[in-house]
Amino acid sequence: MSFIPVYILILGFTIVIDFYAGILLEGAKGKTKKLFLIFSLIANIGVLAVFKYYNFLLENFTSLVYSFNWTNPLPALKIILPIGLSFHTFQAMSYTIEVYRGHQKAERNFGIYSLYVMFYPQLVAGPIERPQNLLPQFREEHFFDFERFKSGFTQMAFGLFKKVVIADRLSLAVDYSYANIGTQSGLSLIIATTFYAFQIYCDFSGYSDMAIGAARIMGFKLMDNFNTPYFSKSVSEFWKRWHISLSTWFKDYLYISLGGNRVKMPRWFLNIFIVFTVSGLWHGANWTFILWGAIHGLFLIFAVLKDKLIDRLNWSFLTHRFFDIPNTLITFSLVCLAWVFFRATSVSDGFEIIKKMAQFSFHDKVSLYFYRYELLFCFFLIAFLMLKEKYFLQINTTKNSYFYVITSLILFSSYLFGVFNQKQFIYFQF
Amino acid sequence: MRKLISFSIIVICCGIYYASNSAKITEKYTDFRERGMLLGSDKIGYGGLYGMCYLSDYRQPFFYDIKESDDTLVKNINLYLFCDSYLYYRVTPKHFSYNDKLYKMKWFETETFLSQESLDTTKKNVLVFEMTERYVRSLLDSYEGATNMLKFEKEQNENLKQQENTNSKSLIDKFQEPFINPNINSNLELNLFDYKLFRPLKELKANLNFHIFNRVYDGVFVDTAKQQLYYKPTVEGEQKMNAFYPLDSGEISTLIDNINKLNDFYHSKGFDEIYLAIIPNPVTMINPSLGHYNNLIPLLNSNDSLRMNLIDSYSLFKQNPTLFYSKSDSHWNSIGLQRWLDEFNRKLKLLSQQNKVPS
Repeated sequence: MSFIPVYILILGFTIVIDFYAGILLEGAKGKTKKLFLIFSLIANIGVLAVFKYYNFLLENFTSLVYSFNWTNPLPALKIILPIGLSFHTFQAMSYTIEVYRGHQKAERNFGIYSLYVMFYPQLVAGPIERPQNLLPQFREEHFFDFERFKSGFTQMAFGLFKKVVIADRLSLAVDYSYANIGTQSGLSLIIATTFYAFQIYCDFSGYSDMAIGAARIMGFKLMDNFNTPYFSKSVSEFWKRWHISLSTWFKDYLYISLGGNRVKMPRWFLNIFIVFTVSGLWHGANWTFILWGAIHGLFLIFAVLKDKLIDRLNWSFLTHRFFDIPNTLITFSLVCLAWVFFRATSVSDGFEIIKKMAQFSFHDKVSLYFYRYELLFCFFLIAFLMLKEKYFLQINTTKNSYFYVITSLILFSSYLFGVFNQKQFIYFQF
Repeated sequence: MRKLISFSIIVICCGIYYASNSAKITEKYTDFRERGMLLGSDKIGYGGLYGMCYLSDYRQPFFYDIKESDDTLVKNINLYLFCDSYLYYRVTPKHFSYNDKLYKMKWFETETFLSQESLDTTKKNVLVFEMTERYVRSLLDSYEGATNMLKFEKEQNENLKQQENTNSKSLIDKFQEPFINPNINSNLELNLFDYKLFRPLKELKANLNFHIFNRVYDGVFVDTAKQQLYYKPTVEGEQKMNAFYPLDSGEISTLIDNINKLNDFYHSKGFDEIYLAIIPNPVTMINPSLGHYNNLIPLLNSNDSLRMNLIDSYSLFKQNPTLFYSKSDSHWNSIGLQRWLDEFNRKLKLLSQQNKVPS
C-alpha cells in the first residue's frame, strides 16, 4: 500500500466509467439497465481484483497446481496497492447501485461526481458515503460558521489524540508482542490483544473523527462511522456500532441482494456467513482477514440461534439489565478473539497465539517491551477513553472559553504524550 | 476580504509544500537557519544525537575550533580526500600542512564525483580514505564504489554517458516527481518546526518520555550510566554498523583484500601515498563493555597483509577517549579532529621532506 501520484489515473478510470454508467443506467430499462450495472461493477471490482487480489489469488492458485505437480503459467504482478482503493471503489459502486435502484438521480456534472468520489477528508479511509447524503451537499452553498468550526475542530483534535496518544502508544506493545510470539507468555498476549482492540479502534475512529470534523468545518455532514462499539452487549450490536458505513454498505448491497433474512433459515445463515467472509476479504488479500470475517459470521449465526433458544425456553430474564455488564464483557472477549487473526501475520500464528492465550496464568511474566509506568499509562488511557465515551461522548464547545481550553489541552497533550513514529493509519492499507 | 485571506492561506500552504518538496530549497533554508538567522535551528549546533532526541541533559554547544597550519611552509602536496560529511564541511586546505590543493569528495555522493584530467606530477599526490567505523563494513565490502568516485577525463566522459543512461527516468517517474519527495515529511517537519522557539517544548516531551517511560528517539541509545548518547545502530541490532555485531575471519580477509586492491588501483593511477583513516565509533572507545566488541579496527590495523597506510585514530584516542568525543554526537569532537589532523600533518611533514619537488 502506498501513495503514488500516478495511481490517480486508476481513480480517474473508475470515475469516468461510473459517471457515464450512471447516466446510461438512468436512461436504460430491463436487461440493458442490468447490463450497464454489471459492466460498471465489473470495472470497479476488476480494478480491486487486479491491484488487491491478483497476487493473492495467484499465490493460492500456484499452491494448488503445485499439489498436482503442475506448473503455473501466470506471472506475478509487481504492483503496489493504491492507498484507500477499497474505500473509494465501494463509494463509487454505491452510486451506480443506487442509480440502478432508482434511489438516486444520475449526476450530470462531471466535476461534482468526481468530487463525490474524491472528497478529500474521506477519500482514503472513509466513511464510505452514500450518494443521497453527499451529492446534494456539493450543490449547496457553504459559509464559514464559527459554531460549526468549533465542533468540527474539537472532533478533529480528539481524533488526533486517539491516533497519536492512544493507538500509537498501544501499538508499541502490540507490535513487539505479535512479532515475538515465541517468547511471549499467555498473559502478555492477552494484554497485547486487548491493547490491539483499542489500538485499531482509536486508529480508525480517530481517522473518522478527523475526516468528519474536517468536513464539518467546511460545512459538510458525513455519516457517523463508530458509536462506542466496545459497549455492545452482543456481536450483532457490535456490528451496528463498528465501521457503520461499511457494515451498512454490505447490508444494503450484498446481504439484501442475497435475500437477507427473508429466506429459509439455512440460506439465511449462509447469507450471513457470505457477507462476513466477503467483508473479511474486503479488508485484505490474506487468509487471516477471511478467517476474521468468517469467525464474525459464525458469531452472528450462533447469536441468532441463541436468541431463538432464549425465546423458545422463555428465558427473557437473560435480557435483564443485570446481565448488561457480563454480556458486554463476553462480547468484547469474542471480538478480541477474532482480532487475533486480523492482527496476526499468518493463520498459523493466529492459532499459536490463541493456544498460548488459552494456557495463560496470572503468574505469567508480562514482557511487552514496556517500562512499568508506560504499561500503567496505557491502562489509564483505555480507562480514560471508556469513561469519556460513556459520559462525555460529545465534547461541549458551545462556550468559546470551553472550546479554547479543551482544544488547547487536547492538542498539548497530543504533542506531549503522542508517539510520532510516522506510523500510518491501519485502515489506509485497505 | 474573506476571499483574500482564503487565497493567501492557499498560497502560503502551496509555498511551504513546494519548498519542502524541493531538497535544494530545504537544504539552503536549513543552512540559512544554521547561521542563527530567522530564530535559528534547534536541531543543529548541539551534536547530531541531541538533534534527534532533544534530551536536555545532553545539550552541549558543539564547537569547531581547529587550528590552521603554518602558512609559510612549502606547498608541495596535493591532497585528495574521500570523507564523511563531518570532515567534508569542517576542513579547508588551510588545515593541512604542505598542502597546495585540496580535493574533497563525500561518501554516498552518487551524483557527483571528483574528476581530473591527470594528476599534477610536480606535486606529491596523496589520497585519503576517511570513514567512520560504522560504515567500514558496507563501504569496503566491495571496492568498485571507491574506484568509481575519482575519474580521469577519458573515464569521466564514459561515466557521464553511463550516468545519463541510468538517469533516464520513466514517464511515470517524471510525472510524479514534482508532486512528492520521499522525504517530504521530514522536510516539512524541519521547515515548520526546527526553530529554537520550540526547543523547551521538545525538551519537555523528550525528558518526560525518557524519565517516565524510559523511551528515547528510536535512533538514539543512552548508555547505562546515562553519561553518553550513542547512535543506536552502532550499539544494537543485526547490522554491520553495530560494533558488537559478529565479524568472522572471512569478512576481515575480504575487507583487507578490497583495501589492498584499492591501494594498488590508485597507486597505478599515480598517487604517491594512500591512507586509510577509520574513525572509531564513540561506543568502541568509551564503552566497549556494553557488548562484545567485534574488534573491527584492531583486527584491520594489526593485519600483516594490509598494504595501505594507516592513520591510526584508534590508538590515538585509546588513552583518554571521552576527551575526543562529544556526549551528544556520533562523531569525534573538534579535539578529536585536531588530534587526527596533528597526526596526519606529522605524516605529511615527513612525506614533504622525504621527497621534495623543486618549485
